[in-house]
Amino acid sequence: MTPESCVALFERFAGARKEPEGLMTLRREAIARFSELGFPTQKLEDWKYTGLKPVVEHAFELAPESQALPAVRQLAERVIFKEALKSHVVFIDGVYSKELSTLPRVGPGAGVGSLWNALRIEPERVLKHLGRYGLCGADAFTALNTAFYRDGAFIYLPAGTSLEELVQIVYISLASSPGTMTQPRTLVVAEDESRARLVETYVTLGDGPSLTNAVTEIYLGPGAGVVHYRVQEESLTGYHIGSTHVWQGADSTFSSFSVATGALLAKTSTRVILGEEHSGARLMGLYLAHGGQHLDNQTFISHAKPHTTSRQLYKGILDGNSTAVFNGKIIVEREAQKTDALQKNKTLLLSDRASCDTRPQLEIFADDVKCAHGAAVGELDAQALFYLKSRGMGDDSARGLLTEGFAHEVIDDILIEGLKARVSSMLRQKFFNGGRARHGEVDG
Amino acid sequence: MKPVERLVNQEYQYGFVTNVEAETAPRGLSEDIIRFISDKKHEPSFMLEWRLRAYRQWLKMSEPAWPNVLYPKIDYKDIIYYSAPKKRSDGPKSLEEVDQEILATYEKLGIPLEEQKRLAGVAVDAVFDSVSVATTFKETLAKAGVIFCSFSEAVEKHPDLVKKYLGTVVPHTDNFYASLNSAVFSDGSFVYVPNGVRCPMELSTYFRINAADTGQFERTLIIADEGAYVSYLEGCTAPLRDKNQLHAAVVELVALEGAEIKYSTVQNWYPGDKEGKGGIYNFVTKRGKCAGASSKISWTQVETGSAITWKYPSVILQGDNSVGEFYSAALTNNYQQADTGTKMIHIGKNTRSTIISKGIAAGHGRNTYRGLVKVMPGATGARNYTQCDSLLMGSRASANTFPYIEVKNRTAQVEHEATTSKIGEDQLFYCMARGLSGEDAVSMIVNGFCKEVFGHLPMEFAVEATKLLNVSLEGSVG
Repeated sequence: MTPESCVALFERFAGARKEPEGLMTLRREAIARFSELGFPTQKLEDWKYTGLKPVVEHAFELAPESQALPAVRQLAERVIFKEALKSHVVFIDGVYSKELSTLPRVGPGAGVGSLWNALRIEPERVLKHLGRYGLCGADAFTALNTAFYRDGAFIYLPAGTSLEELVQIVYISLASSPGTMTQPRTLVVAEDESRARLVETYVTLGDGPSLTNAVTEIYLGPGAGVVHYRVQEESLTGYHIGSTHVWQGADSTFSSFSVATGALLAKTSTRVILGEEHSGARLMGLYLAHGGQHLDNQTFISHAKPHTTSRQLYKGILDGNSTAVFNGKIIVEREAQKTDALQKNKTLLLSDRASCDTRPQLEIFADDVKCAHGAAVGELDAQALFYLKSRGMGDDSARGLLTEGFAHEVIDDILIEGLKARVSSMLRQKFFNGGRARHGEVDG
Repeated sequence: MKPVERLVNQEYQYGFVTNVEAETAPRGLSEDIIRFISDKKHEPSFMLEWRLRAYRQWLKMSEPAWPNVLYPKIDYKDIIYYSAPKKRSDGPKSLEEVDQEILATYEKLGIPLEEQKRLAGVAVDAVFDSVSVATTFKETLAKAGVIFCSFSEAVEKHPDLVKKYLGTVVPHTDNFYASLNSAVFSDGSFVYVPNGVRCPMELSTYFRINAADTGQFERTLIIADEGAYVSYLEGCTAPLRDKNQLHAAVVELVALEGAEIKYSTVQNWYPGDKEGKGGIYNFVTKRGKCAGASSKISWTQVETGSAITWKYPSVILQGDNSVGEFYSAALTNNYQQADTGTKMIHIGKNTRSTIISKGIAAGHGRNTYRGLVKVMPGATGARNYTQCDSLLMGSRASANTFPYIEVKNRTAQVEHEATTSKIGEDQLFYCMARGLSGEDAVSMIVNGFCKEVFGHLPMEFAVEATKLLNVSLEGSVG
C-alpha cells in the first residue's frame, strides 16, 4: 500500500457513497492530509520502535459488505459479556449489523447505535463533535480512518443521563484473503454530569491478513464520567492500529483500560487532553505478547489546565520472540499549576528472545506540580521462585503463579466480571499452555 | 526581591578577556585549513589523513535536529577553527616560558599552574583557546610511568598509542560534531596509565576560550591499562561575549581489564546574559569503553554554564562484570538550555550501571534529561538503576525527561524513576523558622537535592561545585 494507492482506493470508495456534502469535504481533506503525511516511518519519534514494513507492503482492499454468517454470529455470541447481553452494538467489517446488535433502552434524547445512521438523521449533532478530538492533522492513521470509515458506534448522553447498563461495541473483521482493511470509527459524547461504561472489543474471524485502523473519540462535558475498556484480541495474522482521543471538561473523570493480546503487529494509543480544571484521567493497560507478536502501546496526556490529575499503569508480559513498546508522554502546560501526574510501566520478560523498549517521558512547563514516572523491565524474581519451589510447587506452576500475580495488579482494576475472567483466561492460555494453544482466536 | 531570586541573579565571574597575541587560522573550513592546522602541529601523515577522512565524512552529514534546544543556525563558515597564543619558538618548554598574561589568567580563575602554589596532588594541563599551554607535575607522573601531556605532544612522542586508541570509542564518523572535531581538533589532553599503576595524583585539565569568533575543539584521550586507576578532572570558563561561540569537544576513555577511570567535569562556560544573549554552545561527545572485564568508568558532571549544552557522556559496557556510572547535576538559569544525559550500552555479562541525574531549571531555563539504557541479547545478568529528578524554580522554566530503555535480555533488571517538583513553601518555611536566611535556605535545599552527585566529586571540586551552583542560581528563584 502506498499513499497513492490509498488515494486511488479513496476515489473508488467516495464515488460509491451518497453522503452529506459536509462529510465528504471532511473526507477529502483527510485523504489529502494522509497523502501528504504518508505512512509513518521509524524516523518519527512516535514510531521509533515500530516498523510498518509488513503493513505497507501488503495491498489491502476495502472489505465488501458482509452478511451475518452463522460463524460470525457464534463469534459475536462468544465475545459478548453477560453484563452487556441487552446492550451491544456489533459491526462486521466496519458495517453496522442490525441483526446481531441489541440496543439498550435509553432515556429521552440519549442514543446508542450506528454512527452512520445518526449522521443521516441528525448530521449537525454528530458533526459538532466528530473529528474535533481525533485530529487528523498530524496523525496519518487518523486521517486515513477519517477518509474511509463506513460506520462505527455513536453514543450520545444528554446532560444528567446515566447509562445503567454496560454498553459493548464489537468490531468483527472477516480476515479473508487477499486481505482487507476496515476503519471503524467510534464517537462518544457525554454531556454534563452524564455517566457511562463502555467496552470496545476487536476480534477477527479467519486467518487471512487484515488491517484494522480504528479511531475512537470521546468527549466529556463538565462533571461527566466515562469508563472505557478496550480489548484487542484480533487474530495473529492481522495488523491493528487503534487510537482513542479524549477531551475532558471541568471536573470530569475518565477511566481507560486497554488490553492488547491479539494481532501480529499492533499499536494502540490513548491521547487524553485534560482541557479544564479539576479533570482527572486514569489509564490502565495490559499487553500480552508471544510468538512473533509486536505490541506497541502509546499514551499521551496533556495537562492543559490547573488542578488536573492523571494516573497511568501499563504492564506487559512477553514470551517467545515477541517485542513490545511503551511510549508514554505527559505534558504539563505552563498554565497547569498544581498538576499531579504519575506514570508507571512494568514489563516482564519470560523468554530469552523477547525484548522490549520503553520510553516514559515528561515534559513540564509549570513549576508547582507533582510529577513522577517509573519504568522497570526484568524477569521473574529468582527468590520468589525459589520460595515457591521450596514449598513443593513445580517450576511451571510457580512461574504461572508469579506471572498471574504480576498481571493482577492491573486485572484487579477491571470492574466487569466477564472481562476480568476473560483476561485471566487469555493470560493462562497464552503463557501456560505451552504457548501453542489457539492464541488470538476467541474461545470463551 | 525574594531570597531565591537574589541568589539566582549573580553575575558570571569569569567573563574577562586576556590580551594575548594570537595566531589564528583564517575564518571558515576547508581541506586547506585542516592541512594548516595539521601542519602547525607538525603532525605525522596518519593524523592528517584521519582528519581529512573525518572532514569528508562531515561534509556529508547534517546537524542533528532532535535535541530539545532552540538556537539560530550556526554558520560553520564563519568560525575560526584555530587560535593559539603566539609562541616564542616551538611552544613553552617550562612554566617560565609561558606567557605571563596567560599565567595571570589562570591565576585569576583560581587554577594554580605554578606547582608550589597548588593544592597538593593535582596535576594540571591548561588549554588556552585551542592549545595546551602548560602541564604541571610531569616529572612526578613520569616516575610512576603515567603519561600526561597535551594531545599534540602525545602525537609527537607516543604516536603508537595515539594511533592504536584514537577513534576507537568515538569514531570519526560518529556524529556531526564529533566528525567536525575529528577534522579540526587542535589540542587537548592525553593520559596513559600503564598496567597496574594507580595514578599518584588527580589529573586535571582546565579549558579556557579566550579569542573571539573562535570555536574550541579539543580532544581528550584517556587510556587506563590493565588494573590501572586514574581520576581526571576538567573545568571550563570563557569570557563574556555577545556572540555565541561553539565548543565541540570529544572525550574518549578506554578502560582495559580491571582498570578504573573516574572522570569529573565542572562545566562553567559563559552562559550568556540575562536576556539569553551570547554564551557558549557546548556540543560535546563523551564516551568511555569498558573494554576489559571488571573495568569501571564513572562520569560525574556539574553543568552550570553554557547557553546550550548537548552532551551525553556514555559508557559501552563491553567487558564482563564491568561497571558504568553517571552522576549529573545540571542547572539552567535565565535562557540556558541543556539537553543532557547518558547512554549505557550493556554488552558484557553481569554488567552494571547507575544513573543519577539532577536537573534544576530556573528563570526561562529549559532542562532536558535524555538517556538510553540498552541491554544487548548477550548481556545476561545486566543491571541498571536510573533516577532522574528535576527541580523547577519559577514558572517560566521547563523540565523534560526522555529516557529510552531497550531490553533484549530477559535476565536484565532495569529500573527507571523520575520525579519533578519545586521547592516547597513548607520546606523554606521550616528552614527560615530555624533562623536561616531565605537565600541560605534555598541554597541548602538545592545542595541537598544535588548531594548524591556532589558526593562523587573529588573534594576540591565538590567545594567548587557547591559554590558554583549558588552563584549560578542567584536571583532565579521565586
